[in-house]
Amino acid sequence: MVEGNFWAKLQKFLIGSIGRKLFFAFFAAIFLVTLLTYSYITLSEQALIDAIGKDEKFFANVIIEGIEKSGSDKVNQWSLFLQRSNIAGEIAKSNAEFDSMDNPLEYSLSVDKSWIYSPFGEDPKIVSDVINNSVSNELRKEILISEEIYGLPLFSEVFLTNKYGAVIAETSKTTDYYQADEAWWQNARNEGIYVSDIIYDASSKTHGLELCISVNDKNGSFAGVLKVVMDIRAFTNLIEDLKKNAYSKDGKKLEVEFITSDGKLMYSTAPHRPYEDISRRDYAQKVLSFGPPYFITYYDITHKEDLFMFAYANSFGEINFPNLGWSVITYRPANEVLEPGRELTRKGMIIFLTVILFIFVISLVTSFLIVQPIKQLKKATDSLGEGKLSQKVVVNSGDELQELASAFNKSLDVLIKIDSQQKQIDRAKTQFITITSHELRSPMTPMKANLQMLEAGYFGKLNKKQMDALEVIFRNTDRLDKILLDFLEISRIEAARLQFTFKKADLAKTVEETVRYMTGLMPEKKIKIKVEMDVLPIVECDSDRISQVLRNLISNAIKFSPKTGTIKVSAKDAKYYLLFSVGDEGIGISPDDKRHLFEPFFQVDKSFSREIGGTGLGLAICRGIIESQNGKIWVESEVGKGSTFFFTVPLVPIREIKPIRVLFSNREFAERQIEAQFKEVLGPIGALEFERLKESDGLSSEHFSDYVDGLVSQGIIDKQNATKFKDKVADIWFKGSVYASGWTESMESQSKMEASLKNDDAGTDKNKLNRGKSAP
Amino acid sequence: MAKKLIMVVDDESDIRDSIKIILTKNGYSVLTAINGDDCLEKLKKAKPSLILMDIMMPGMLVRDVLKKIKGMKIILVSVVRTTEAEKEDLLKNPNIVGFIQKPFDINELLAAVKKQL
Repeated sequence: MVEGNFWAKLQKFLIGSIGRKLFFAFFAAIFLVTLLTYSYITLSEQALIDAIGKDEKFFANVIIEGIEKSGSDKVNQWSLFLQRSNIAGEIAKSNAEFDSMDNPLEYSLSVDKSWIYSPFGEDPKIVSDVINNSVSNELRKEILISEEIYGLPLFSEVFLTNKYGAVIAETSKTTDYYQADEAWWQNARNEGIYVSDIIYDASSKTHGLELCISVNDKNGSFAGVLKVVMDIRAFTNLIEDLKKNAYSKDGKKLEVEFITSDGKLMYSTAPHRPYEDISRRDYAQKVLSFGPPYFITYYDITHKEDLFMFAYANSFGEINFPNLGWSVITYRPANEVLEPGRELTRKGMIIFLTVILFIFVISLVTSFLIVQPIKQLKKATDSLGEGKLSQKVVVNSGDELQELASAFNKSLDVLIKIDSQQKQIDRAKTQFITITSHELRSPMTPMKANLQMLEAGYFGKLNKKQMDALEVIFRNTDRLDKILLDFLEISRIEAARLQFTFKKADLAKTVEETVRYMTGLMPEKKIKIKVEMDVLPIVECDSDRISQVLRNLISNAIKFSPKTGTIKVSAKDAKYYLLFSVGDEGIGISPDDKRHLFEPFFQVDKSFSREIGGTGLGLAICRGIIESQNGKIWVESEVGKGSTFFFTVPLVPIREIKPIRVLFSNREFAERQIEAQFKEVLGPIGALEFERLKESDGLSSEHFSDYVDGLVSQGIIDKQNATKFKDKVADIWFKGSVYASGWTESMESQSKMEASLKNDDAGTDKNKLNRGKSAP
Repeated sequence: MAKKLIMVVDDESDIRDSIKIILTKNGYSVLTAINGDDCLEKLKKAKPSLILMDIMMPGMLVRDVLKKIKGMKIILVSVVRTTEAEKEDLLKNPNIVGFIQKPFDINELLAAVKKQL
């Protein structure tokens, strides 16, 4: 679950940004290179260690083989000695002599007694006879020859017994005459060859061992036993020689240890105590388990800080030399051996870090090179989405992104051209309206003057019918002039030439004055105008324009009120803006009419309004005035119960009046197109649904998208149609927003104001303010 | 008592004539001019008590015509609504004494004229 979360989070993190994706890719690359390098270093060190270990194992084997071979050689040397005819003859002679005795054992024991117990210097004659006989001389001769050959007194004591165990030759006096009761004698007789454990000779301060070799006569029958005491330097010198020969060149500190089966250190090339018991050392236990040749690294053999690698080999015996369970251990300091490799590794690490740094820098630069143009494009596209056409993209990456940027710029140029054409058309339209209105008003001057002159009797008194006719002309001339004035007003609003005079004003006074003025205009109707007002702050605004809007709304209210109705005019302080309302008890406005109410030339009830008289431009002008000051205007109504118009005046006035479309608003055009889409997708209920959505949530892309998703989940339309639907509506908004930059700007400033109002807890009008917020 | 002379300057003959009838009927004598140049030409011989002048006419610009008229009361007549700022600017010329918006009510016209004479 946690892992799942991790992957989900990682995915979310990566999806959010191309930069992160690139970083991850490079990070992965760096990780792989690191892994590879680490593996390489580890493997190469391991390979080096293995090679050295193999070498050491081999060397340990060579030493143990050499030792046993040497032992075997010594046994062979004495076996050959015993086969000499004169020696064999003397052994046979002695055996024959004993054979002829009635009781050779008894004889042997009696001689033994006198041999052992004779006082010092008073040995029986037999002792000197044996020491001085020809065989003994031969033995001494053999020892001397060996000393010459090996360069050291290898054999210290040799003696020979016949098959009854009686000593028949010796190099010096043995303690016993009768040897058949000794274990070594019996072992040698039974096994042919017996080698003793290492023994220490305190007098010569040397370690040695006994080689016991049985002798057979020419018929192959047991004839006697030879015993030789051999110095173990026969082996240890060999170790020194082999170590010197094998490792003299590389000068590495290779050490060799030679241990017995019970873990006694017979010899070490390193300083050591002779015959030290090392059986309790960890590695020694491994050695003494007599497994196959073994190799271990990083072992602290001396209990010092240094790491060691060591190998060992156990003895396996020779034909003439039994396996005594000896072992040879070789070891060397690992650090020293591995140092060249590690030096290489350090250099490798420097190269590796340089490469990593290089990759890192490259990844940063690459990310920057890729992400930067994309960010620029995104910024430019966002800016374009807001209707600003100024953001060009400068990308010199020389790749597809540059092509994209150049394509974007080309599109932008086209849009700028279209926009400028559109603005030109707008200007031309406004100019056209201005000029036309003036040109139309000029003829009004003599017409009106002459009508007045006729009425005033300048040209003679008129009769009643003539006066009535004149009245009709007069009234319609006035109406025509009003229309022309409204046109001029609109053209001014659209061209932002509408004159606003911002002064600190008490709008409560403005409301009162306007109400008084409007009451004065309707002496015949018995309509009451009720005013409800908070204490209003003094705000900087154009009170004349506010009055104009109020007049218009009150005049409308009067028109649509029943004869004895009441009109409620209110003004409230809503913290960030002032909220005005004008309510009547009239016929009300149907939702369908409500939608078009602020459009120019729209009249609620054609027949009714014509009677009342109006240009159909009043509310459009009101909207123009209010919206150009960043206010909002809307209506709430119930058919049959009356309508209430609301408008807001921001407390912070805008200094710059923005051009606003009154006559041909893109918003209305776009909304109609969207409504048409609704009808196309949903059939007859489309219009109702469109209205419902617009009323409840506004037509923002987010709400619209939610709405369409809702339709899909309810199974009203399928996904494919939903996507098409969304695309078409988005397209309509896009065109609308791009072509009508003036309009979107004003929408934008409104939504900014709405955003500032969202924190308003007094916001009873929040929903109303959100109405008409429709720009995606 | 000699009738007071009022000069009406307008390029549209219908307007010129209408104003002439109204003013004549109300006891003024009227001299007309069809544009700025005509006005200046006629001012060489006549000395009207008041000049009603359209603000937009072909020929010499009204702005320039106004500079050349000395010691006369002038009411400007305009079909374009003159803004307060424009009025203030124009009133710096001491000769300009009023403004009339076209299309005018004849009573307003007469009141404005009477005020100056």
